[in-house]
Amino acid sequence: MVAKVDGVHRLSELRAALALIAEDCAPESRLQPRAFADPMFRIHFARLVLLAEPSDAEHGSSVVFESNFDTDTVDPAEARAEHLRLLCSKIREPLWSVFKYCQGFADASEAEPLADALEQRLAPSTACYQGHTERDLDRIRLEQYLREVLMRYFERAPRAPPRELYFAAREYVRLRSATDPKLRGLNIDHPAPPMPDAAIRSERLGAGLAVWFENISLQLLFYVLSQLLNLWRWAKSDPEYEPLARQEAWTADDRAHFLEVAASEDHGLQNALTHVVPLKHPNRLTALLAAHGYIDRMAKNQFDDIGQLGGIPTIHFAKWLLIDDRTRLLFFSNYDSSWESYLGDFVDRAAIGLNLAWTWTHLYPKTVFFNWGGANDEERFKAWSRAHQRPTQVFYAAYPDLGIAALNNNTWIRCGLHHPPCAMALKAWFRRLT
Amino acid sequence: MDSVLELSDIQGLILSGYGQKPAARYAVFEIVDGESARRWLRRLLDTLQFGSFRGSRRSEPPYLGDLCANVAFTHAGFAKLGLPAVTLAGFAPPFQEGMSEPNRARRLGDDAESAPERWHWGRPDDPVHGLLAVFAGDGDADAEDWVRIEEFISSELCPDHGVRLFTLLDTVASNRTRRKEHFGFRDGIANPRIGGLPRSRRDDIIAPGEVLLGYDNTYGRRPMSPEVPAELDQRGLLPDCAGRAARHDFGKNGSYLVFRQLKQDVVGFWSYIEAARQSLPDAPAGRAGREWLAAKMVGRWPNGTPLALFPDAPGPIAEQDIDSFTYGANQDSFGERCPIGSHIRRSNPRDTALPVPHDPELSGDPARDLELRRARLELTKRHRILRRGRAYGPPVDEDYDLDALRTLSSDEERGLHFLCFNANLSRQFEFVQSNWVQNPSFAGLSSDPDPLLGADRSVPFRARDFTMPGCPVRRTHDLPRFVETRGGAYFFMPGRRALEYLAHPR
Repeated sequence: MVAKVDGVHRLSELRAALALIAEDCAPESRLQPRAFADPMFRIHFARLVLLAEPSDAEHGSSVVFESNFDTDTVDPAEARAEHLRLLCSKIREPLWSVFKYCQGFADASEAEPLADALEQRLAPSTACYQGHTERDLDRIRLEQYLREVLMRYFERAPRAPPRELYFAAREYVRLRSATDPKLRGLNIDHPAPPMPDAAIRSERLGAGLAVWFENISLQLLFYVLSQLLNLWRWAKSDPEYEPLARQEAWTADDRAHFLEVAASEDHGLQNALTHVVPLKHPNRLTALLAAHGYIDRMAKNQFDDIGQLGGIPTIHFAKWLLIDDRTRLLFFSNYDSSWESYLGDFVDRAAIGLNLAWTWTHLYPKTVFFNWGGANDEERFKAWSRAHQRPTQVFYAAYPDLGIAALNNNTWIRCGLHHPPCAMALKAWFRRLT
Repeated sequence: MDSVLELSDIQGLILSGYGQKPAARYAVFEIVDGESARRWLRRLLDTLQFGSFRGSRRSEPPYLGDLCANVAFTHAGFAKLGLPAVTLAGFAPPFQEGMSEPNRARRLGDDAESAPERWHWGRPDDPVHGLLAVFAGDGDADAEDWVRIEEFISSELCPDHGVRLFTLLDTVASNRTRRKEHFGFRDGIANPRIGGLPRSRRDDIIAPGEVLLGYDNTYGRRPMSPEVPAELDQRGLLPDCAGRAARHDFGKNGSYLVFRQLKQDVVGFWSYIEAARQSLPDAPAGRAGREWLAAKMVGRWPNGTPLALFPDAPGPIAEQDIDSFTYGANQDSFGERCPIGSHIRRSNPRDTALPVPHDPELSGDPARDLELRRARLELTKRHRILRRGRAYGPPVDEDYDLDALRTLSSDEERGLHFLCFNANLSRQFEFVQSNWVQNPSFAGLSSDPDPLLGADRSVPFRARDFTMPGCPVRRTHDLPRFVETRGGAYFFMPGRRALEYLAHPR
């Protein structure tokens, strides 16, 4: 959801309103602004970001709100509308404290008009990836707790053959789940709830190049063929980011901006990345949409169920969307561990996919046919990314200390308890308990 | 990749830890007058040890000097020496911001007792401008060596030279420590070798550009390097920048030096080990149990032999094998021998699958697994650092007897002066510290920090467990902090020509 800031307001007031929301955390909780923590909201992650622009910029400043939530409503549009109505009825005050500075919100101080105004500004993503599917908040928390119960059980258990240990633990969990409220909903005698199927996961992890071709649509193929000359010309003539020259020219404001970005990072295991970059030229829009359509298909058909986006195993959510009359590309993602590790994964594991996503944007490191080069130019790519990054002023994470790999591992442990594994699988199951 | 390093332009400490020299002192200094300091630097240049000795055998010239001195500067130090603003702005951002910058301190785990404001030196407002590292002796330590070092430092760092000693950091004679760190473990084993260095071992090679600016790194590119506009170097002291006539390369043959003074609580460590051993259901009893549990946390036995090769008892020390191993090749992909969270496995995971070790087995194809392991080793190499540290403070027990280490107490501070070189602070040192050492979710763990260095830090979250994978798994809890940062700074150790340029009158 993207709203334009009304030009008459001072950004400092808006920043102060965002800071109030960010700092109002429950005691001993980090990355958990109270505003979004109501269990009724069923929010996994939420963020409120001010994309502040200089007064002479082509596009004015914007406020962007993102919420990733669970829903039982099948129709996505309806689900979003319900979610916004619920948020506005419960946390109208903090939301209004921010959106009152935005255009078109003057008469939206009450819950219902506020929800309507927000709904009108919903922005669709051009590509989206989800690091875990099929699991709602309750299930994630249950499986995290179950893992700890099993760890506590095994670390005290006397040595015994694996099968014996396994069945003793299974019995222990069965009995405990009858009394422990945190294990409510766990019935290991029933089939395990849906999970990314082991065979599918194994097959997808081992998939070769063919899958990358299978997901190319005819439309994309025709587009690429018809634009070969342009793609070649662009690759030759587009300027790229010059990290040393840029760095040498940093002003005090630039340095303050980088420190502000750094200050919003590394407070927990999970981090939020907000990145905005203009398109090189309006004539790249069609190419970008075609490329993002492909990434979106790859994400849904290949990556969503296996906890990896193009080989990067630390992303909870990632989405790209076009803002400001489709002239700028906004990227949001929630990832585990540090920025350096995340960007390093981009370079080491997923350069091609990223080139496809961003080569259409301003000063992106040179690519050849949007495939080679680009993010492979490590220092240039990282410097380019950092230069276009924005601070994430408000970031809420429902399970800030749980990484995506551990989250998926917990599911495997849980499912192994429902279905007694064979000897080989049992060995593998025990190895997951670390 | 360039095949030949410009040895005579590279300061010696980057190419050698001067292991044969038992005495060492580090003098952290302030520059009080830039002009005088430049004059001093001109004279100092002839006494510094450069790397030519690495091009010949020990018995042949050029020899390693009797007293080896090397110099490095902080960003503020370069500014004091009058380096042009454009060059100052070309250094890596972490170096410009410094180790004590609050966001960085948070990421590196420097909180509470280790917070930069509480350091002995390197605090945010300390005038730390340079480092003079001096080494002396040959074989056994001699009191004379220390005196020579002291005389050298006091004759060099004096107001007449425009420089003032800020703090003098001593080390303990390396023959006295028998290459052990204070917890009682053999140290300094796993260090990569710089490619292109003559007569170096062939294994564990990293690209020269992983350590030195001006050479290709592991991505096949030159690391970003601070430059001087050609018109500001009219005497042409600095090397050219490849393909750009208007710029000269100030960074070539230099390297970023990380210096951290790490205080160790030896008695606290061994007392915890004893308490934790008692809480484990089937740990060996007594001293053997303590040695076993401590080895699990470190990843090596006290004599340095790795658990991946010798899971049940210390092995015989064979220098050529002590570091030549991978986990996968020793049936230890999952940490049943050397725990995933142990100190050496975190600081250099080798072929451990990250972020979770469980996935590769799903392929079920040994050839593919081998391919994956090789790929992982290559990924790990992108984060290697070249360590050059030495211990400080007297050992708790001269013989490193495990019982004595637990029971003898002493008020004297002891620890490690951790020094390492790298060409990319963010991708190498800072990455290792925050993503591997400090990360409780490292490689499929969920609440385990590095048991020696990372316990109970506020970022990313307070974690105090240590897990030993197995069937069944074993775990210890409530790890306290055994190591505290007492000082630190980022330095840059320039090449000879860069020093000549620095020393040149403005």
